[in-house]
Amino acid sequence: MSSLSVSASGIAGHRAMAIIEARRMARHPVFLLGVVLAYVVLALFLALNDDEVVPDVLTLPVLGAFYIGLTSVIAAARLTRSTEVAVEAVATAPGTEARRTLALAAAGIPPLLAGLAFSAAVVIDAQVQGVAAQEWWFDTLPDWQVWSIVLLCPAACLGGALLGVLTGRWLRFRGASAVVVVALIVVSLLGQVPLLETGSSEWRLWVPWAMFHSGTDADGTQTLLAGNPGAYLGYLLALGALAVLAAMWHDRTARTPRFHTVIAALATTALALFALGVMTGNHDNRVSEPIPFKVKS
Amino acid sequence: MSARLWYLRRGVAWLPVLVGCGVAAITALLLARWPDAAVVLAPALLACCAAAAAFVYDEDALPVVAVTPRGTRWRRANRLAAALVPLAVWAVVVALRPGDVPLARQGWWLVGGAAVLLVAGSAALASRRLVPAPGAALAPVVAVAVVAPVTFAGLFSWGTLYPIGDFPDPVRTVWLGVALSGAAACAVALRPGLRP
Repeated sequence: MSSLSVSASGIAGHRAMAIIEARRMARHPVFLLGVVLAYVVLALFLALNDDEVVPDVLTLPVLGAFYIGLTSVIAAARLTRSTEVAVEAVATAPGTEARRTLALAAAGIPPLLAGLAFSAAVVIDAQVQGVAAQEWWFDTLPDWQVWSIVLLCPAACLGGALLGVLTGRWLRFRGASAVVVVALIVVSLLGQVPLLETGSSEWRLWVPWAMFHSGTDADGTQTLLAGNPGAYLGYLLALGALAVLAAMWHDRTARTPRFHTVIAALATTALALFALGVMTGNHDNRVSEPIPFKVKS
Repeated sequence: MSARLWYLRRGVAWLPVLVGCGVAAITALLLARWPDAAVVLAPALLACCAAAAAFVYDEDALPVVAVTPRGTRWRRANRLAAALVPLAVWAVVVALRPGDVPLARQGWWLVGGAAVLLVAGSAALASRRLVPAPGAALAPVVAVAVVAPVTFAGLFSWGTLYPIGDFPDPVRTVWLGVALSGAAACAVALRPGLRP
């Protein structure tokens, strides 16, 4: 009955559709499983940590990005495909496929919030427990760089959901989201690992999840990888927005000249942010002072 | 035998199974090219094979075929044989050791066998509960679950579930446990009857 009360067009109608999609995402079991796993692994890491301080803080956002982001790809793809069983009935309803796709983008809100809460938990715990003086954190890095790296987690969670919408719209074979998940992992790995130890590690920033922190090496040092994390954060958000537009482009009626202009502008923005990420920020990898209690003899 | 082969050829959703095997083959080529990335690529390869096994029980007409005289046990037992295809891909890749990655063959065969058995058993259980196409939901979750232990490696002192080089006994024990769980799932799923 609630669908009958949704106005066919305008902001109010779109908001109602978006809220429905966000709620469906928030209740999706795969998404919920990912959120629970992310927090359980973080809690285990902190509980089993023998040191008095939190180590490798800037590596922890990868946990949220992996568990919440990847499960959001799966959940969003399934939400998108789930409407296809009723496509004939839906097609007779007011509104276009592009509008429904735009509403589906709201499925990214729960992962974004879960990622923000995850990052907040990391920051709060680091502030409460403290970090080593040599650790790459607020005392050794500009605040904007720390915040940018920490906020990569919610950006990746949001991007995962938007990539899931894109996957659901365009890839119709069974197991498409499984292929996308494996491809994301492989591309993120192979796109950056060969570059990490080179003098041009900033070129790794084209991948959908770039590392900025190496973790602690055997000599107790930590490497902060080159590049501008603030611009990379913007690049990730631009990729997410491009994913939504590419999913909307599936609807032939949406392919207007104005829409093409928006896509071109956003793609240009993403490229500019990538260029900024590569050319500004830290020009070379920076190695920290050794953390005494992390040196392995 | 011919009836079984005929059924497998016509009944199994081969396209997603073979897509999974194909992606596994591509990942094996990447592993040959970048053997230093084996820590993640080998589990990703396993994820492809295990995800492929999730589709062997996909059957859109399940409510119809479930009540045919041939019986659900015959159908489920034969479909389990289709899981041998992704398992064979895994076995060949481990035997060839692309990029000369020092994979302990027996240990890694156990890893693949255990993962594929557990996934196929889970899909069979879903089929027993009249889920017509468990693969679409199971495969992506399996892909994430198989790669997930890689994130533990750098964080905890437990070691890794995917050791490159020596294959420690504790890791073997874990995978034997996974294999036993898979065998139990298959045994339950292959019992006659349905559990809607």
